[in-house]
Amino acid sequence: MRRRLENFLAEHRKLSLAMLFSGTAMVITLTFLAAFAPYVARYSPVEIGSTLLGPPNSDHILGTDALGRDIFSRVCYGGRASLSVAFVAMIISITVGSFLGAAGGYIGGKLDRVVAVFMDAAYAFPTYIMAFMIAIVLGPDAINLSFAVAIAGIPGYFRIVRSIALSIKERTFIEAEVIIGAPTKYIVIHHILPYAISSIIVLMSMGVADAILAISGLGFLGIGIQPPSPEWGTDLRWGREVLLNGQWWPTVFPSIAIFLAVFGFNMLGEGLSAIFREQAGGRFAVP
Amino acid sequence: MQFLEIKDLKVHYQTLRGYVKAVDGVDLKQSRAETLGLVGESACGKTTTAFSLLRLLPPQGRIVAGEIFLEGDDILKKTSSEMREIRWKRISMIFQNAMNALNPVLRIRDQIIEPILTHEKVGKVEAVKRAEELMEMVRMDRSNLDSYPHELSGGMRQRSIIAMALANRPQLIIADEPTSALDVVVQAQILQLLKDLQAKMSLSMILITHDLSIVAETCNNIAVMYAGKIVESADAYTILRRAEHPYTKAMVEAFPSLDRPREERLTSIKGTPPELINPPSGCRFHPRCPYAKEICKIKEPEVIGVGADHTVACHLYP
Amino acid sequence: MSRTSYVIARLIIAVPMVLLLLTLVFVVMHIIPGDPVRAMYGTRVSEEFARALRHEMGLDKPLYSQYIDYVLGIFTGNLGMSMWSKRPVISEVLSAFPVTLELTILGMILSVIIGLSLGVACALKRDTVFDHVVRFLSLAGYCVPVFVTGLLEQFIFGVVLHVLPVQGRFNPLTAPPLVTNFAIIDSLLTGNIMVFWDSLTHLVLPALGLAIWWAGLVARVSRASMIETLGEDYIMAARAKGLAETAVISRHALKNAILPVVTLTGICFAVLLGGEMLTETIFSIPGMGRLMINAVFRRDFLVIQGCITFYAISAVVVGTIVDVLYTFLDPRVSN
Repeated sequence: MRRRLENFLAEHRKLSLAMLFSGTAMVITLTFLAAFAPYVARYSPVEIGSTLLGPPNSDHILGTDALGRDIFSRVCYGGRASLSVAFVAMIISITVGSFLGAAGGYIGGKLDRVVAVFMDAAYAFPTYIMAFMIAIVLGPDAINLSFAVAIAGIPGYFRIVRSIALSIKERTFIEAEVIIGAPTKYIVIHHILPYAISSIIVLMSMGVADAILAISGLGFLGIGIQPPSPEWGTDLRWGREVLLNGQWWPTVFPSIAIFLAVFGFNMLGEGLSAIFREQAGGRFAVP
Repeated sequence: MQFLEIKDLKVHYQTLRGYVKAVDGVDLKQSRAETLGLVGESACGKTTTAFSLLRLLPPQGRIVAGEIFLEGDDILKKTSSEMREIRWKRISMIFQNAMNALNPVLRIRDQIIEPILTHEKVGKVEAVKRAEELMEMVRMDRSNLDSYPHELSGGMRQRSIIAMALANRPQLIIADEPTSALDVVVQAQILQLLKDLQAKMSLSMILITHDLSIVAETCNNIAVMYAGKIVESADAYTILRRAEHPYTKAMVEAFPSLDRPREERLTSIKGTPPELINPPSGCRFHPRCPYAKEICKIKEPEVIGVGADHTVACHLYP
Repeated sequence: MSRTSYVIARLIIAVPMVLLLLTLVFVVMHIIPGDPVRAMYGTRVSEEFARALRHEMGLDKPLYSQYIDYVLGIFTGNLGMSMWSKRPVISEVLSAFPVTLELTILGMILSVIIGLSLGVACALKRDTVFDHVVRFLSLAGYCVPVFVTGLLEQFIFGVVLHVLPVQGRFNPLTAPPLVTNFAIIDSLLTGNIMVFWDSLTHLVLPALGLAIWWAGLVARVSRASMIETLGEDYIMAARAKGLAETAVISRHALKNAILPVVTLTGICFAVLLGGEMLTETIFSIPGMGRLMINAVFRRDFLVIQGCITFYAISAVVVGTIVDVLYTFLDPRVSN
């Protein structure tokens, strides 16, 4: 029986497809719940209700929190906050980081070296604390939050994309293009970008996951999205207060939401990465 | 009793793409203190044959049939602990690319004394002394023992692994393309070294290569492999001057010779070596053979003796 | 370049790195918010109060002067005064720093031990059920936020099972006299085994929380590295030499396979510092994280800056130490 299972799993393709599928499923479900929150959730997430800390029942399927607010709604609407802020942060981070990294890596020269040293130093700084620092300085607001997380992530993406660009630059087919006189812009668009795109797609997926973790972490500490706005991490901050009294639902459900989101995006990235790797015949650039 | 005898060896690999019959019925004989050349194109099964002697196949590979006798000892019936005794102590190996065969984080000395300490009951001091003697034998300064592999040149690395191969004074050394990774000048030095060592120590050696010019210099007998089978075997002179098998003849022709007229075009063998998942029917060489007949497509040729110690597997004979 | 000169060069480079980071911190803390006082207090305070505050903190000086004060202050140990406690920032930070350091290092050690063993085991049992289960758990461990893991631990071990303490560093009644403020070292120094055990049990859960989060990544890197190493020719050569499989793995494979893991450990410290901040909150541990968070709510600008400065410096120091350590493990580095 175990042999059979192992043989089945040894067919890597099936495993990566499974990962891809489950990851996509989680992501889609959560995005759906978040996007259609007004239609899916019965109550408003900020409406203070009468039942305080009511356990899950047929009316409030995930229970209510300390102010009587429906947890299911808060999770759905909170998803809007977490997912959108995370997505925006990731886009900004990866765009800036990739652009600088690709240009720096391929074009090189003094400017690249200066920027690279600076990025190396910034990279040494704990990312989360950098986001923390920027968040408290800018103020707790959704837009500022995405900037904070975005800026903190730039050095990381810069390094990765730069190393990808450096490795492509060395490859013979690029040398050949340069020799036959192809302009730099052409090379970048038609050769470097397609090669890097598969890596970047994977990075984007994992990037959203990391951003969600950062955002919920900041929320948990109280400097993220402020109450009464729903956000998974922020809700956990208050849910924690009542956890030791035995009221687990304000803590458990937002936690599960965070986990599914992060796990889903990571699985998505892993599945894509494995498939790209197979297509590329073994070598693939994402660490 | 023959020093080494391989009978009907079959080694197959189970890969993701299919079942590969890498070695499909190989017979070889070797006498003591003889250098046997095993010649053929890439992926013809020569390295697999060699690794079968040490029973060091990758997990997907299996010896499915055959017998290997080393001085009458059936290697294939040995247990794994018995095999560990045999490895390096009775049969050792010189690898193709010394840089890959050496552990980059260990010094040369540690890698040479390792098999000595493993197989013989000597202390470290004694082992190091032996290592120094081995260095002299391969004409290297003993200070190189302190170096790491990346600090040495290609030729010096190759000498190091030759020294390593000699560490336990084995009965048989398998040299797997020992000079392919080197430039021509160093190649000549290493080959000369191997010849001298063989003469001095009466080594038995199997020299695996795709380069005919090497076997001409160093081997007593040559066996030619194609697509997992031995197509011809004889002494070196016969193979190089009086080959009978079309493949052997074509291979010899393909090597430009200094004593032929210059206007001659370079010849090669048309086509490419076959995929061993689905080898050609009948004689595996028939798609590329200029003399192919109908029967070649249907029936595999048997190994036939055509002279003193000269065998061929071809439908042109008898 | 010999190893010694490489190490020296690496150490020398660390200095401008630190300066660069400090500049970054300065830029973020002083320049981005425009007026740090306004950023802290918003419109809640009068302009006169704000002006007085600015003067007290030296924020009304020209920027370059502030910068010089800041950098010089770090070297002289003068980071200003905490507005809330009226004590020098440096002493506040120095009493919290060892706590953070201890927990983070313990978390790092645990995650490397767990991750490395699991990763190597997976590589050796590749594609078995064990391998897949561990890989799944590795990913899952990273995907649960470190504070959720902490809460879970508190709940399971503190409330349900009641076996381990879930708050603070010591049982308040038996805390040892402070020498270095490293709980483990202090208790050993004072020869007090009970306190040593006490501090250890208090550290277990938070450190484990950090380890669970990070060990997954260590496991994945170890696994990949080990798999790649095992495919190398010199491993096959080692087997050809007749070595027992355990010797092949320990003497040849492991030494090469751990190299990427060592590199990973360099950034591990920095990342764990971030996670540790959250862990301190959950477990009420009086480290730099808690100090900084409290300072945020108390609007204590200089304490926040002091903490961040320490974070920056320690990250670079540990990163440099790991880099130097790496050169001792890989003889190829000096090229």
